[in-house]
Amino acid sequence: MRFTLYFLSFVSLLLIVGLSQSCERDAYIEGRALYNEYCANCHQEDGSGLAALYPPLTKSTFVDGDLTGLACMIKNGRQGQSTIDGIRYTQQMPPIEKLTPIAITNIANYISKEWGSEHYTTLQSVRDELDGCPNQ
Amino acid sequence: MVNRVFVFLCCLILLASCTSSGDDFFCEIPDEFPIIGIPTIDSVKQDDGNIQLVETAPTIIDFELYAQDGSTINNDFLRGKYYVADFFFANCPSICPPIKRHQLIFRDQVDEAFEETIYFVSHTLDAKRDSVAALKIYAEQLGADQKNWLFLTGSSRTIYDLAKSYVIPAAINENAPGGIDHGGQLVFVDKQGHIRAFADGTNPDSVDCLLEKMKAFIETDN
Repeated sequence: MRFTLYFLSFVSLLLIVGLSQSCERDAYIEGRALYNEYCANCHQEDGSGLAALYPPLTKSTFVDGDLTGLACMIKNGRQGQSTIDGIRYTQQMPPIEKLTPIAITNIANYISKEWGSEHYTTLQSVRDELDGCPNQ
Repeated sequence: MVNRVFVFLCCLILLASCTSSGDDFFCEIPDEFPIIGIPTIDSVKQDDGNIQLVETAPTIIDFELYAQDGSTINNDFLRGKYYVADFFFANCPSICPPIKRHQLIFRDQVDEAFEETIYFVSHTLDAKRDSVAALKIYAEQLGADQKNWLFLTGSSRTIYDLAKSYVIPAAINENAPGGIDHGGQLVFVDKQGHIRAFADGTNPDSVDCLLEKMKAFIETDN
């Protein structure tokens, strides 16, 4: 009886430690990893951008809106200028052609969750959008 | 007995659940800031006919380039100034943005700490695209204090030779991000053009290490 009690407390402790560690992980671990690899150099890990060179994602209309156009931009980059929050940005954004639609979906959902309106996109809608990118 | 085993196991699990605090950075720059590089040794014939060996510390090669305001910059301009040199290009998508961010932070702290002028000298490795005008826009968009921060362009050959002189690897490579492979070091140069220290510009701890050691060095160097 006493042994069972010890055994049960032991298992509960294991569960508590295990759960508390796994709960620290967020659901966007793949998106975060991809973002940090491909996007964070310019847009920073906290999405704040760099001065007037690289725009923040926190106030970007693409992240704050319904994510339309985001998939094409991640895949094909962006030329020309854009004005975000009153600041004019002219640096070109390089294309990242090797990203798959799944990777783009993960990145889009991660940045939307972190800094946007938490509007989520699906793999299908990313695929549909990539089929109709303007400069393809 | 069961009691002890139980307590021991519980402690073990709690200990194992602690996460490690990560790697500690070790600041490797020596306090005395030795001149880096191989000195040249010349034999000089004395008046009495004896030969004497004279050792000359290495300096940065002669160059002439253009700053973002169009002015000509050469060794004479930099003589008598401490400066931190680096190599970058405006379309570099990999290591340059974090390095520039660390330089901005560094720059702010230098201004607080010194009355004396310390320059930043950033050389573009992409002179074709980074014209004087393009670098002017880049400097403005970065928010750099352009009084003390030069963005240099000019002959590609001069710039790549200069990179060698600063011991920074740089090469055109179409497989590299942005088409150019290069090192992200910041190079601290003294008033006579001697290399005195390097920092890894991509690592904020290394940049901090250079800043702290540099402050102490400059205070005693005059």
